[in-house]
Amino acid sequence: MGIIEIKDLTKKYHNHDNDLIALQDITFDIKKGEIFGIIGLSGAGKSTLVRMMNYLEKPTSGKVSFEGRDLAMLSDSELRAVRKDIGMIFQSFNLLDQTSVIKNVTFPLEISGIGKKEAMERARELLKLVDLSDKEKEFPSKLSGGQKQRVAIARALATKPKVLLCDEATSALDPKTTEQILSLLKKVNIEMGVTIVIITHQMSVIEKVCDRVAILDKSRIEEIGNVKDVFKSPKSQIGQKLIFGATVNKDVDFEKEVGKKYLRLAFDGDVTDRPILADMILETKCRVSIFYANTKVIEGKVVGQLIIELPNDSEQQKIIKDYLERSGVSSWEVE
Amino acid sequence: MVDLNLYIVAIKETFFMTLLSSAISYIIGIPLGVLLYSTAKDGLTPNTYVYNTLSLVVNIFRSIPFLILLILVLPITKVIVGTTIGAKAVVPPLVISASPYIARMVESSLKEVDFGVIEAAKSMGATNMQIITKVLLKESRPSLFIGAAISITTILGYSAMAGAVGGGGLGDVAIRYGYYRYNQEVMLITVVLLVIIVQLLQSIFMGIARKSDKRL
Ligand SMILES: Nc1ncnc2c1ncn2[C@@H]1O[C@H](COP(=O)(O)OP(=O)(O)OP(=O)(O)O)[C@@H](O)[C@H]1O
Ligand SMILES: [Mg+2]
Repeated sequence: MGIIEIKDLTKKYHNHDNDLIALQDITFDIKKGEIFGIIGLSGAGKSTLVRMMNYLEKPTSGKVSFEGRDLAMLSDSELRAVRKDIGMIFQSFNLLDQTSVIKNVTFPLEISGIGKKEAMERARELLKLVDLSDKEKEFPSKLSGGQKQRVAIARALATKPKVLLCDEATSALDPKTTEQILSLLKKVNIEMGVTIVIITHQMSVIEKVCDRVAILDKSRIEEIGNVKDVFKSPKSQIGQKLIFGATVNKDVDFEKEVGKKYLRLAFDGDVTDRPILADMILETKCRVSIFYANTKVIEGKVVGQLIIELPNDSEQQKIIKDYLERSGVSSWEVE
Repeated sequence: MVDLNLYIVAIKETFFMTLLSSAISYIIGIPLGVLLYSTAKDGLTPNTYVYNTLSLVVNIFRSIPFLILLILVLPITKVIVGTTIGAKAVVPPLVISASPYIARMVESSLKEVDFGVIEAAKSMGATNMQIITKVLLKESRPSLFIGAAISITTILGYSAMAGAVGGGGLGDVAIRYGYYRYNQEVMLITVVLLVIIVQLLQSIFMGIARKSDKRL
């Protein structure tokens, strides 16, 4: 059983006269303890989906359950209690600008009726966790984007939630700061056991921290699975586009020389820890040139794809294909 | 020569009318403004019926010229303060006239609060009441003080107008001594005094607004 279960979810918006379908037939679970990524292009419906997980937005049809309880069945006060178990952070941080850093962190405790002293103690612990102990009296306007997001994370964790929803939490940050926020999220996941849902349009964010990923496109889930599997061989067209970039799409312009043959090699993490291409050239004594390469390191292993131009000699072509097969690298000719 | 004492009494009356009316108008205007904000289309608890009704009432009161309102509410004034002349008698019409105005000011200040912050509070399980008191009214504080600077100086202007019907204060002095007795000196002095008081109130409230804004 997942900590969050989504079943047959559909969301329609009524804009003027026409209906806009933001989400359609969405069914999936988020497992306790995992970091789950949801990726998609702008307008795919990611924010709508994540906002339904804490019922900031209500589905048009379908069900959202948290720890087995259908959110639609809850009273207002029960729903507010559930929301205290589900923290949320945002792209624009959404801190209280007129309130000091520490008071921002105590805010969720204050509205839960927790005493001032206890709240301050908890807030200080959390500010220590996010490495901002020296900023407790500052106001948000004096902080950098990364610091603001760390305050937001501390605030979201104040009520000891079981799940943390992150809607484009790193999209407003530079790569280095993104890295810091992602490792903080990973730490929160591992050390505090918080299940994390990450919404992003950046593939690199998924690669770095997520265990599983769902690819959302045009209001539907096109693909879902372990990050490693999806990255190795994305099945959906949108998945291939997001992971390998536009170059490998069949419909994308591919300037092949007439008469030449090209081979696409797909790497998974198991083979690329040795220099497969160098070994191949040394062993087969065939000359190949790399036409296109796009590999990424996931969990310390290289995955991705490579396109090589084959020698003209069909004998040599066969030797290369045999070698790759023996080495466990999947390859196929580019049409 | 007009007695200096006359001015002192008039200034006191002007402050009395302005500050008391402002205070009461805010006590009425803030809840009204919150209600307008909350029931609006994208508010916390949208309610078209309540919003439209309230909005209409507010607009009606705002479109009645103050002098006419002053006369219209004379019976009410008589009941509340027991008299229809003097500084005290100006307070009820000022309140009736200023409260709807302040309600609109408050509504617009609340609307300035970033929707994301409200959403964040909701995601933490805040009730609507908590969102109003701990998020909206707090985050909009600087804007509310700027609104107060505008409202209070407007009320001051209205209070001077009330002098025309024996309302007391600096406006009363200007009318009685400056206009009816054609004493230009009195006219000039009261105008200068009014300008100084407006400036003073304006800068006090703008100062508070600036001081209270933690974004700066
Ligand atoms: N409150 C709303 N009213 C009407 N339409 C909406 C509303 N919220 C979202 N939509 C529409 O639903 C679709 C999905 O929006 P959503 O914000 O979920 O996309 P997203 O994947 O988060 O995009 P982005 O990456 O730009 O944030 C969009 O076409 C959007 O215009
Ligand atoms: Mg979004």
